[in-house]
Amino acid sequence: MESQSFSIDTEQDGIAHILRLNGYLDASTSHILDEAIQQILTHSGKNMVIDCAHLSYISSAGLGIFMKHVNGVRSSGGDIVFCSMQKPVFTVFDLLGFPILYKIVDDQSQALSHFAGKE
Amino acid sequence: MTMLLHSTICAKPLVHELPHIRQHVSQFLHKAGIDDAFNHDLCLAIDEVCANIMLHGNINAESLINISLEYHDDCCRVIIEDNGVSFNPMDIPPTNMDDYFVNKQYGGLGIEIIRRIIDEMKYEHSQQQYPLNTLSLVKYFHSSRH
Repeated sequence: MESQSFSIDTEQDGIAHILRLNGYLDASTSHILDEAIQQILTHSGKNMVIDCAHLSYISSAGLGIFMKHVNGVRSSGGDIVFCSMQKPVFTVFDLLGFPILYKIVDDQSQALSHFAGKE
Repeated sequence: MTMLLHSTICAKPLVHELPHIRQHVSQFLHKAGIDDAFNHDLCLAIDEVCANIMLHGNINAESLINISLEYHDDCCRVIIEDNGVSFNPMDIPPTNMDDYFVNKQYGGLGIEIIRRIIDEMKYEHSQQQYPLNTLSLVKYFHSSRH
């Protein structure tokens, strides 16, 4: 059977932290995302690009982690921008109306441009 | 409604079982020739139900969650049984997502996802030697939902 693991690669671009999500984000793996975002916030990071190019699956547990942190991020003047979503992942965001709350763009360069425009 | 294929999976009530459950469901639906979008949505709904049972069902670790999958000519029916605390998902009122976003709440979205994907949901609870929760989900192939 195909592995359904989850991992995150992080990189600081200067104006934003880029989190590249890989694999399957569910109730068994969402704590990994929670810890990664918490670590960025602890180190004064406020702008986050969530690159979903290699995110194959998301459930409510993953959505809940973004909701948990969005207030703290925005109250510090930052934002969370999503990019490169595969269709199944976008479907879940769209199902609950998340595109109203979050900016979702086609690729990483557009996401970084969003923050560059705010500098 | 004619049943064409059937499969059952038993899983421990631990969240690391979720990927195995999804894989089993996905393979069953793929074998039945069901398209990827329907497959994804039904896997997600089952994932949400099982995660709720695992995280909030106060279920004995030795107990099992039973998931029965039925492929009919016009729908898929899923029956999920567990021995955790009684919980009827339909007792939870629909979530107003506008209010949810304004208040920046988190958590509690699983039931809303199930509600938006599934066409029919029926819950039964019985108490004999052990408590038994039975949740039946039906999603039609020509569903207007999602």
